[in-house]
Amino acid sequence: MTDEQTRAFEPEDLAFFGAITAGISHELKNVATIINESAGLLNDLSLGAESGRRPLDPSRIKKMSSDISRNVDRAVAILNRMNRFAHSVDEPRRSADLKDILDDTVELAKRFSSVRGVELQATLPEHPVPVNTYVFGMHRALFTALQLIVLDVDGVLPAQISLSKQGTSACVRMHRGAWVASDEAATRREGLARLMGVLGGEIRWEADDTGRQGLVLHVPADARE
Amino acid sequence: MQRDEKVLLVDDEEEFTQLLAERMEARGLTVDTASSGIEAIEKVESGAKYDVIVLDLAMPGMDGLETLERLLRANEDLQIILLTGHATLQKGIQAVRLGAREVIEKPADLSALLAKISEAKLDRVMLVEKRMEESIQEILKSKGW
Repeated sequence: MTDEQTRAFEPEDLAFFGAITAGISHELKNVATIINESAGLLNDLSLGAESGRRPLDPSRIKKMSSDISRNVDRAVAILNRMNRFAHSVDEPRRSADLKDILDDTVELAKRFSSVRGVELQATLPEHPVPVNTYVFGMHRALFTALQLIVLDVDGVLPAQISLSKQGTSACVRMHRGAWVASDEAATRREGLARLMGVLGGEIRWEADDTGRQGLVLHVPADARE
Repeated sequence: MQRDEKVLLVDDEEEFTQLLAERMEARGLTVDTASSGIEAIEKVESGAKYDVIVLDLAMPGMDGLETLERLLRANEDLQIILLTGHATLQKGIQAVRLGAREVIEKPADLSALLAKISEAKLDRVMLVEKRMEESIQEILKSKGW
């Protein structure tokens, strides 16, 4: 991307960055709250045992320990994802696995979609899907596409997301239901088309085999792989 | 101190509500839980009685503010405390304007939360007594006494 192209997207980049970090902070707060209550309950159980009111149940303590570990793992996964996202701006263009970028973006978008009552269901290939791209820009394009599929489609069906390689392109497909027409939807579509153009890809509006409307992002695959 | 408050905890993080419910029950409170705004509304509309409702602000689908509005429409005497991961002044003002007692940030200190639940129950009892007194006055007035 040229400097001019980068500058053209800055306000939207900041809004995207804000949305992602707000989601991450909310998820981490939830985990911290659960760990806090677990610590409080352990304290309650200890005090109960000390006073003789209620003997400690070792199996209960073991389960609580395991639950705390699980929540710590959950927090670490969120932080690792946040770290990868933070480093997505390190280089203007580099080789990356689109599968990892899509997986992270879907996870980062889950809070955005769940508060709107939409579930995201991603089917990802087992093999890597190499691309050479501006990783932050690709995160933003994928997130914008997810916003479209959540906000601009009628109904409560989950969003189906898949990734495949087709010839010299990597294709990200998102389908949910019938599109809703609005000025905001049109603006989002134009923004996404513009962003995909800057990234060297394109967006197509297609129906899947069951007739559900959706979109397909075509991203040039890494020719060196 | 003997406690007898009846509380409904509403939060989509069920692990959190289960832990908090257990800690509250160990202190004598009667605790019911709901994992969504819709479930909470169904419980209240079906006649379940609670002294206080502790409600998460950010939930999937129907959020805390919409749930708050609908709960108070079902029963205007409900005492509702909102819990949030990130309390902003704007959200706090909005919640109180809609009828919440207050907004508390997670993770909440349990002693502080229980103190607020006690206050809320007292206020509710006084509110109900006041309404009863007003009804009695109306009846007496209608009979010319």
